[in-house]
Formats: sequence, structure tokens, C-alpha cells
Amino acid sequence: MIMPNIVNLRKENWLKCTDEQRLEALNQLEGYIAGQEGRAPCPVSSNWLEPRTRGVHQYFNDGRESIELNTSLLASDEPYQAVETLLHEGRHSYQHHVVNHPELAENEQQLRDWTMSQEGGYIRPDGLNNSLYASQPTEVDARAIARSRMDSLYGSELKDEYYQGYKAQKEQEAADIVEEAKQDLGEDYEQVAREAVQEQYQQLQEAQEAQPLATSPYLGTNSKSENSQIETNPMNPSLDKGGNPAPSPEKPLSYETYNQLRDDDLNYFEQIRDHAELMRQKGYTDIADEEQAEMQRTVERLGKLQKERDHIYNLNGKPRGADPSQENPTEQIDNRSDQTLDLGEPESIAHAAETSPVDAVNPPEDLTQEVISNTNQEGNTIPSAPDESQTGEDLGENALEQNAASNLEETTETPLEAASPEISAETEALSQTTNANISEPQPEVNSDTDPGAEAEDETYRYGLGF
Amino acid sequence: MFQVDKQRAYRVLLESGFDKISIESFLKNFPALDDSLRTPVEEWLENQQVPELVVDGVSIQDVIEKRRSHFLKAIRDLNRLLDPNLTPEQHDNWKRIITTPRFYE
Repeated sequence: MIMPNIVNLRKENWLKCTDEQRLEALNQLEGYIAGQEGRAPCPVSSNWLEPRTRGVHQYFNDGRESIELNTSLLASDEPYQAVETLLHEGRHSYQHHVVNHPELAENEQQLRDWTMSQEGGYIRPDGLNNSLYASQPTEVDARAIARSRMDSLYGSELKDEYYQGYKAQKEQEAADIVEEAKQDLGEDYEQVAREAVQEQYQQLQEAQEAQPLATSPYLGTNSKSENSQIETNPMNPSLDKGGNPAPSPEKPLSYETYNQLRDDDLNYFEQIRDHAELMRQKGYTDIADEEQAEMQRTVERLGKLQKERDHIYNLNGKPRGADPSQENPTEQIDNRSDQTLDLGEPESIAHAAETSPVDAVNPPEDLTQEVISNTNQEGNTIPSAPDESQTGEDLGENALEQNAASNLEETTETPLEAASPEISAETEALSQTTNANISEPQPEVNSDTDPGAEAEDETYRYGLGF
Repeated sequence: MFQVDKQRAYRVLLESGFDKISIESFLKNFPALDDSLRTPVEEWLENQQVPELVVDGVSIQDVIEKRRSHFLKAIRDLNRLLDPNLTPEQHDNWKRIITTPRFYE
């Protein structure tokens, strides 16, 4: 592709530009490339992402997309990494475009790879599988295209004399990724990663086929092609791991499972609320409005979940009626505080509505997030109530498979929509706080805020990086 | 050399919230480890606390932080530094790789 001559992307000019001018130049580049590729350009913005996350590409149910670059890239004295990350994320946008326009695919393998990735197969880095993540087809393609376009832009078009040093660094980085992947996955690392994408995709398909009526956010939407997705997002419970399958109507859930689903929903709510705030700050009101609608749906789902759970269990988490078919016995009941679901006291959410959005970005305690975060960053786990069915048994030769299977079984018996009680008055109250919160005017970001701390907040809020 | 108890590791990782595809892929190729790593690994399997550990001048905390790696992944990476079959160039290159910050996009 012939690259445009955008002078502010030359290092000597970039140095003199304000952040706004830099962002404008990047948006200009994205506009040009999108035009060449026949797709709509993604709005490009900067944000304090997790420090090791350079950028993200997101797409939403109605087809809108966005690219966010880590603010640290825009603040750099060199434009190169910001531009290369933009080209990388822009390529993800093109991959998405091709999946929606299959006639554009170069070959069947490409279409198959990209479709499976988009429809639940995409692997996010989790600390264990970084090579799988880096070696999956969409990431390999995005890196290769970005590299090639960088050479074209800075070598052929802008003839930027400072580019060569950066290029050498990037070639080393690419070689290191391959070296590590070979160690982790073997010589056939790309094929191994492709198969992992396929497996994850198939797992999601099977779960969806088993629960065709589920409308849980864990499955995105009923239509596979309408899923929202964020590339490089290992922590979003609604999108991660292809989603948690919905429950089955034959058997009530355990108290513990209800609470886990509640926690997932609450966390999901917090994530989209905070993202909606950000989008509104940046002027993307249409995206913010859509996310507000999704917040409403989440609140409704929480209300149903609470009613269903409270119909089956009393306040102490004990079954209201003896039912031998229930999923787990009372000794597994989670008796911890349930303040967040008790819609009479939705502390974190109500607080968020009443106080400044700066306070509002502090999410409620979420055990799932903490566990993932700790295990990823430090290899530590927060001790949790052991699952008797797993820890108590002596695993035999096929233990891994059995264990995995039992785990899968456990998560495939969840029909939240099975019982559809009315939305409670408390839920409506929460819904109102949702509106109040998202409609509040946003203050300026405090310039004294520690950027590192901001970045950590982003990690939590978006689930980016780790 | 010793082999990590993969069944136990599987259960710990599963309970920690990792996806089974990720766990299976990770453990499938998990190599035998140098005997000097036995104690820290077994302690971790027991309590999931990252111990103080330095291999060939590289601390496990450093690898975890710079690579955004899980403890077991960092252990595997450090174990390679103890591989007597590596040439000095391969050894130094690997040491550089595992102490270089990794980024995601």
C-alpha cells in the first residue's frame, strides 16, 4: 500500500507538535488507510491504558469501532511506536471488516482464521499463554502488516533518517517473540496457536448450541456475528473465554453460582459504565448511549438473578425447601456479605451516582478480578472456598480431562432466563442511578493524578493487559 | 531433574480462574525442571506465594513483572537458564529475552 505523506508523523515535526496535533495526524493516517481498505475509519483516541498495553481495537454490536492508544505513546519524543500500534490496531479493524465482507478475504484459511477469532476464538494473554496469544493468526497478521507499512511510510514515503534505529529494535522484538513461542509451543507454534483458537471457538459454539435461548452477556448476544469485542482483553468477564455458558432449567443453581454470576454482572456493569463515561468525555455520545442501554439490560438481568436466587435460598443462603436435586449441598453455600446484589443497598453503584465520577470509577469488590489479576501478575492466588468435587477427589490417569469436563459441566448449567420474574422496584431504583450516573457532567482529569495509578485503574476498568 | 505435578498444577490454575485451553496448552509442553527449583515450585503449589528466587542473577519477580508472566511460566523461563545444552550465546540471548519488558497490542 502506498502510504500518505503526513508531515507531522516525521520525528522532527512530531517533536514540535502538541498532543492534539499528534492525535490529529494519527487520525489522518487511520482515515487514509481505512479509505484504501474500503472500511470506515475508527476514531483514534489516547488513554492511560495498562502500562504494557500499547493499544486496543474495540468493536460494538452496531458495527462502530474505536482505537485507543496508550497515552505514553503519544507523549513519546518519537512517533514510531504510536504509528505502528495504530497500524496494528487498524489491521484488526480490517480483519473485522473482512469477516463481515467475506469476498474480500485472500483465501479460505484467512477467512476461517479471522472469523473464528472474531466469533469467540480470540485468545487474550493471561500470563500463561502469552505465546499462544502472540502466535494466533490475527496477531501474527497484524504485526506483519504494521511492520511492512511502517517500512513503507518511514522508509519510502517520509524518508525519516531516525527510523532505522527503531526498526532494528522492532526486528529484535519480533525475533524474540518467535524464539519464546518456539520454546513454549514448539517449532510449529503458529499451527498450535491456530488450533487453540479453533478449540476455543468450537467450545463457544457448543455452549451456544446447548443454550440457544440464552441472552446472557456472557455470550455477547444471540447472534454470533454481533458480539462486541476488545482485542487484548483478558479480564472482561462478559467477553473473555468465549463467555460462561448459561444455566439449564432442569436444576437450580447453587447459591455460590448465583453469587458468582452476580459478581460477573456487577463487574461487567462497572466496566461498561466507566467506558461509557470515557466515551462521553471524548464526545462519542452514540457509543455512550449504547453502553447506557446495555447497563440498563445488565441491571434488569441482575434483578432477575436476585429474584430467582432469593426465591430458592433464604438470607443465610440456605435452600427454602429441601430439594435433593439442587446443584450443591449447603456446606458449599457462600455466606459472605451480599451487599452489592441486595438492591436495597447497591452501595458501589448508588455511591457512584451520588458522588463525583472520580469516585465512581472505584469498582466494588470483585473476587474474580482480583484472583485473575493476582495470578497473572504475581502468580499468587487468593484462597477461595475449595470445590469439593474437584479438590476432594483423587484424580486418576484421565484426571485432566475429567477435571476439565466436570468444570465445563459445572458452567454449562445456568439458565438465567429460565425463570423470568418481574423486575423489582429495587432494580428500577438501580436503573435510575444508572441514568443519573452516566448523565453526570464529567470533570477535568486532575493533573496531579499519578499516571501510573491511572493506568492501573484502566487495567481494572477495561480489563486490558493484565 | 524433576517433573512438576501437572494434575495438581492443573487444579490450582483452574481454581485460579484460568481457561482450561490455556492451562492444557501450557502444561502440555511443560519441561522437566532443574532440581534446584523443586522446593520453590512445591511451595508455590502448596500456598501460591511467590518465593524469593534468583537464578543466574535473574530474580523471578523481575521476570514476572517485566513479562507479565504467571509464576509457573516464569519458573519455566528461568529453568532454561540452567540448561547445560545451551551455548553461551543462546544462554545470554534467553537471559536478555526474559528480562526485556513485553508489551501487548
